[in-house]
Amino acid sequence: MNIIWINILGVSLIVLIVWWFWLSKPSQLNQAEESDANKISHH
Amino acid sequence: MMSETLRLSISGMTCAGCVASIENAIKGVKAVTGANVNLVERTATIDGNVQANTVIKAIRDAGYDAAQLSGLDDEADKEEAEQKYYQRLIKQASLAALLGLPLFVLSMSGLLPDLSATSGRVFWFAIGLFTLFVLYYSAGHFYSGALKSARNHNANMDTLIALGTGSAWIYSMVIVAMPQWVPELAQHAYFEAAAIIVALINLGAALEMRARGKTSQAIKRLIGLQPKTARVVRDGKELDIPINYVALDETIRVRPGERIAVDGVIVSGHSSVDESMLTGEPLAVQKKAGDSVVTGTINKSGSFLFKAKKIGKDTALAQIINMVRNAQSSKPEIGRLVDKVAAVFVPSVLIIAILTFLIWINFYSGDQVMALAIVTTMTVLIIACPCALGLATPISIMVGVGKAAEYGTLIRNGDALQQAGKLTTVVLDKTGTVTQGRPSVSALLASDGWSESTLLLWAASIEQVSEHPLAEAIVNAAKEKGEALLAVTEFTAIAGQGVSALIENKRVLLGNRRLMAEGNIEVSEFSDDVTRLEQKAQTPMFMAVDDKLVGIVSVVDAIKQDSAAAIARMHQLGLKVVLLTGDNAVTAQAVAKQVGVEEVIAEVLPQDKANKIASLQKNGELVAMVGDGINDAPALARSDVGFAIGTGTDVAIESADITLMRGSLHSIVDAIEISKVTVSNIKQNLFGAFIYNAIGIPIAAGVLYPFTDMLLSPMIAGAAMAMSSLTVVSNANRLRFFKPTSELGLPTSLLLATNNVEKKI
Repeated sequence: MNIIWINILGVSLIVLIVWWFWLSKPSQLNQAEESDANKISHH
Repeated sequence: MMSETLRLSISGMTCAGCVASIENAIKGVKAVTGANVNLVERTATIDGNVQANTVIKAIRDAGYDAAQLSGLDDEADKEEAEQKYYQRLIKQASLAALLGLPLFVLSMSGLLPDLSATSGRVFWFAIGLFTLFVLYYSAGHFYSGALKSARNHNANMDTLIALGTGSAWIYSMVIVAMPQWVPELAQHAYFEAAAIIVALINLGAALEMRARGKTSQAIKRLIGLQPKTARVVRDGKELDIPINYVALDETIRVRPGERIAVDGVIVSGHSSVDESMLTGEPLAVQKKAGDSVVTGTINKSGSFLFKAKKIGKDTALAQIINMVRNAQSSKPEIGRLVDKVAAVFVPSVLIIAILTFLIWINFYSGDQVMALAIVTTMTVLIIACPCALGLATPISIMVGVGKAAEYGTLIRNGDALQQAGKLTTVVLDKTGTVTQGRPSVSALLASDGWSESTLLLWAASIEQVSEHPLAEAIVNAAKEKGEALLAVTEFTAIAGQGVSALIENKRVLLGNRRLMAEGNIEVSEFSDDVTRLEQKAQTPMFMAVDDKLVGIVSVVDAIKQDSAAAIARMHQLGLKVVLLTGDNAVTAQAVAKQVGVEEVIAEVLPQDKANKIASLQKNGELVAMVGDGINDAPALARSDVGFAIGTGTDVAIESADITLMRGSLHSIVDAIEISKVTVSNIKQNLFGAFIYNAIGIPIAAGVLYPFTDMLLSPMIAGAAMAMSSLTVVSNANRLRFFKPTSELGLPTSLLLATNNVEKKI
């Protein structure tokens, strides 16, 4: 595999990790809201 | 006040990352006011008025499982489950070792077939399939754990192990299937590495579990104090029945050598009772009818009958167990900081691993570049250990809180444990803390026209309505003389001064100088006597009838025999000791002199005690308040660490961070020493865990390779990783052998001199 593609893949993985584990991580507050929303939808 | 607390056992939790995600899931449930997940015990403690099922559902939604723990018996179930888990880990480690070790030895001896020949590739393909089975059986829990946390935007130890061993297996299978893709020199399969890593990590987890079991011995010992049956007296017959069937107010027989089954009050008989298991107090305590007895203590000599007053979870023992458990599960400030670091640790390691791969690919030009890049990436993933980081704080807290409980000191939470070691000033309340809190009348001085007995009778009559401890002493003295007390009207208690009332239509005042001064009453007649009494650490009280001084009632509260020795230990630790009292300055100074206290704050009104603590804090002191009375509660709450004497009032105990089950001040120093040694143990653990990762990760990435041609084998990384958590657990276990200086340097006679205590927890 071309080294450039490996680099692109590696950097993309890093971006993916940062996005998934930090940027898109739901905060505690959001989770609480989600949980409340779930309860409402059950009723 | 204690809020509703729910305890759950959690399964599927492996590392610090899991703690954060489970805590978040629980805190997301409405009405939950606080949640603490303990990685060491695999339990969650939840505060708030919430249904167990709702919380369990939230935990399951987060990818873990939970079950409610309610009684003492759960401990046995938990132990059985842990034993099963231990055996499973050993089996998983054995299977992985069965594949990995022979493969490793044969590969080192060059006896394995070459990948270039077709027969060799068939052999390696078969080994690859066997490794896949080993990964499924022995490492399946890492993969499922990694998936669960990834779904919740978390990464933990499982993520690292799954990626490390998974990449080793995939890379090796690619080489077996398409060897032409990589240069000949890089054609090495890493099946044995994957298997040995899994074996070592499972073995490490099993050993760690064994060591962890030892850390919760304090709780097990406390639970072991609860007898299983009680001998109740029903319809004149004595029956042995299981403890759960004992009802309130039922009469129970205790024979010599037996443990007391529930809390109660002796109705007939007398005996000496060994309470050392709860208080650390080595001398047996004499008990007679009317005295209270506590669950778990041992009846030494006589046989007696007692009435059950507290059963089930209301007994002092059950509440002590509950308090120790909650404290063991709580996180101090340092632990919360570490959790934050641990939560970003694994994703950071993933990024470092990818960067390692990219740096090798871009900057190394040899034939083996692909193999080296893969091996170093794999090694980085395997060597990084968030477990050691996650375990560092809770495991030491668990041992520290348990150790303190062994010495009769109940610590309410991790913060109190951490703070106690940093204290600079100890403020001691006088009555009941430095002194025995059992005052007695020591002198009566009557003016002309008044006899000593009339003086005592009038003083006792006015004090019969008061709740002050000094009042009790005067009333008891009069009752002992068989005096019939007089009728009292218009009684008023004047805080910090004394009391006032009408007896035989005469206005009577009984109290300190301040009370006399406010009534413009001349006290010079007794001024020399008063000074002499005060210098003997007695508390003289002035009595005036119709604005004329009629005499002095002096009360003395004996100093606890070991107070001076305990205060000397406080000084040895570099602590400033202050005596805080509502009593007059001369008496307070006299007491302070006898026990070796350098600073006295006397004549403090009850409501001002908290302000005095606050002013010490303003001067930069970290202040401990030690007290036992209702009037100490605000000061206990205001102080940085509040110590309540266990013989004191419930209000004081509820306001305090630490409860001393024996009345001795030595317990304060023991608690401070245990706190210091626990916090330093946590710091050692954290230092070890950080240094391990800080050195291990760069070496694994190959920073030494350009200088030494040395690369770390992924197998060594696996062993190091398993060792790092084992080291943390073993270091915390060292705390179990800690002995406070009271046991090391001071004469035992000083330690034995403590009170006959009745515990109120």
